[in-house]
Amino acid sequence: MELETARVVVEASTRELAGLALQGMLLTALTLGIYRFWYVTRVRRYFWSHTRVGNYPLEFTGRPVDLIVGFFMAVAILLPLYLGLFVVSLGLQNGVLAANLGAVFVLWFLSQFGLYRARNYRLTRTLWRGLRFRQGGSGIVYALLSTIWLVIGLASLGLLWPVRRKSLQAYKARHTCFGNQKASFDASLTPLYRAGWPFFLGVAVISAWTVWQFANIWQASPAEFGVLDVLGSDLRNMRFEETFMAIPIADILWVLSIAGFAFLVVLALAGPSYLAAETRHFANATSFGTVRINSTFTRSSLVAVWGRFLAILAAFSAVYLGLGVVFFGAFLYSDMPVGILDSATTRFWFFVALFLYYCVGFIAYAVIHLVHLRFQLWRAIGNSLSFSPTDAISDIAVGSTDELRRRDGFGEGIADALDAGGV
Amino acid sequence: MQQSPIAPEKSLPEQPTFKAVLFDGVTAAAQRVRVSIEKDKLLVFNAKNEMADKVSFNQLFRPITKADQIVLAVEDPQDDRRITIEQVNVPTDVWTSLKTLPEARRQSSGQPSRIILACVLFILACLATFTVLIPAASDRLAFIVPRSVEQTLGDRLERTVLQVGPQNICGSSSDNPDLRSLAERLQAASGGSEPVSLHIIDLPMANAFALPSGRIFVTRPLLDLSQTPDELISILAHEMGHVQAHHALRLSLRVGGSSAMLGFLLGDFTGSAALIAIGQALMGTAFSREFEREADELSVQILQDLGISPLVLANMLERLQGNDQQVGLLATHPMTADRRAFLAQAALQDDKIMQGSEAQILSSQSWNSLKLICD
Repeated sequence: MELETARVVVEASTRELAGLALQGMLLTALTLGIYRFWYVTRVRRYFWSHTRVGNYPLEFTGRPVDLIVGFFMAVAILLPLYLGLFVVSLGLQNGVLAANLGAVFVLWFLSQFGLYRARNYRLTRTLWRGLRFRQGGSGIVYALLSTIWLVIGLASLGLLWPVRRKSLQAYKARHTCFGNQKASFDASLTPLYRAGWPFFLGVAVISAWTVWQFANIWQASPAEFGVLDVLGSDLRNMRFEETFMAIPIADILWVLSIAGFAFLVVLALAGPSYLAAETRHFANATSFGTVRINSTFTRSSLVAVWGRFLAILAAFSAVYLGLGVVFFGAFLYSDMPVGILDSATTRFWFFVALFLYYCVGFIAYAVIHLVHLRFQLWRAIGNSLSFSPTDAISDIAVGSTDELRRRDGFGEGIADALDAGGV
Repeated sequence: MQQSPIAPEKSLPEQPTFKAVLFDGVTAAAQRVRVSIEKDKLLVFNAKNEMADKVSFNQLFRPITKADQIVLAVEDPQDDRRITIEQVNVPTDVWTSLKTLPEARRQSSGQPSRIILACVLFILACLATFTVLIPAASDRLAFIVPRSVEQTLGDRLERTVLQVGPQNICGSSSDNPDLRSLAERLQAASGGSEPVSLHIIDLPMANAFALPSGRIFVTRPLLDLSQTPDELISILAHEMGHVQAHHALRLSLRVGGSSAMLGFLLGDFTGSAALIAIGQALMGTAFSREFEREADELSVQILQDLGISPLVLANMLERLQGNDQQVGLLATHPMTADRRAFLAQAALQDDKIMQGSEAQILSSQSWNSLKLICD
């Protein structure tokens, strides 16, 4: 008998996952990064297959070759674009900074496009109860939406950030299908602001203070220049450097570090309650026909995951840096004759050891990050989910064959292949 | 869910059957089925006890294996049918035989040999791009790039990369009449197609280098070491060879292209690394032997036009080699035996030039004032 309500259960052995991550990272390092396509796919298969939704596990059917194709597609699109921008900027006499800002904008837009398509890639490769998920909509529309809301969100000093989050999530959710069943999304802003007002108020105060400080620095600056001078500065007559020399870098760094520190404090104190509420509310607002999703995700489980991760990271860093200081310090300041690095052989092995030390740190961090942050968040959020009524799921059928045949669409896997898509 | 008792019907096998759940890939409904294993085949019976499917073991794999559950699938990647078998429903020997099925498709691309092949191909492709494609493309591109682009590149490199402030420039052909006439002579001797400007700069290392769009730089120590005007001019003729062949632009495009591509692969989208790399390469004028040889060949023609023996260049380079200060020039303009032989051969072939006599391109008055330009 199928239960009226079915739970999502994520359970896995941390040791097994750590072994997978360690092996994957080692092979990735040894193959100069090529193995990452296989590694990412193996990690996804692990995450998916250890997630049971109402007794039946998810299955990730994607293959490494999909990511390799995506990577080459990304290279094919981005490399000429990037080289073209480089050549154009070489030919420019004025407005080099404006050209660079334009390039950043183009790359941001492409990244949003890629993220949307990468979500489609993951959904179409997710098999559950013999059916696949799918995502319609347009990557370009999503990228436009994301860009417009980014401008509005920044202009409002972050106060309208939840509106942006809700709008983007609505676009993603409403274009998501399981089989032939479209998802619907009916979130309201009230719970987001109820849980998030201390955080966004804090961010707005910090942003306003920063803008005010910058205005003061601008006014107090001895040089007369405007934004257009900076953007359109003529490199040939050194206006560019003069303009930048006039900027009081120390003051700006001071303001930015105070603002950054204040932001971290606000994020640590008020951030988790918003993020937990958003995760919970977005899940609760999503339904597939009559099947509703329910989440009990709480602030304390989010804090527990992050707290544990940061504690493990701190412990690891202490041991790693301590050993590094002892080993390399002893090497450099030993009783051996002065100028130990003068010998070419010693210098060679010293730098080999330094490089290996760096690799060990990099790999260990990647393993800790995967096992103790990404998987723990996946588990905490997954285990908070349930859905009901379960019998309505049996009525969902496969989407039209045409749509299934169009699984390999343009741009899929680009962000994935560049590893911008996360899990 | 009630299971109809197995009646002895025709469609039923002799082997025992076990409970399983089938997802047919058409609906999400969990269909209660019974399966049995006959030799190396999996038989599937529907609720009416009719045989619904018969799949050979070598067409099956198990995408998911858990302690209590195995999911079976068929090889065809388009086929989304799945059978879920719980451990509690099957005897141990059946469970063990199910576990002998492979975990992934047999024609999976995840074979280690294929991974190694892909890596080798990728590294070979990168090597081919860096050693063949980018140099070849740069050399073609250098001759079709508009002169204005070469000009701008020269401006930017001169200022933002060399870090040469106006205070370091002792004199330029734009404001010094001696340098200007020297530049005009060099330009005329080289055919007059390329713009030429000469700059004496006060840098600690003895060096001479050419930036895009005909900017030739000579450092103060190199000027000090030149005993006669011809010795200085022979070095300038060699640099003029680099200018004529657009070596600076070609090298910029090579280094810029390579580091831009490398930066892209590693995720640096700003292009700043590329510009710095170009600057360092040009500052050191780390031209390849091929470029040096080409510049020598072109300089021989220029020197003949000016009436200076190529041996002066050879002697000058050789003499500089013995000087401790010449690290910069030595490292980047290695004086090899075959370069010496080539220049000596060129000198022999030219009977118009009288060995050991001055070409009188600069008056002694001009030469003396030029020697003091940085004081």
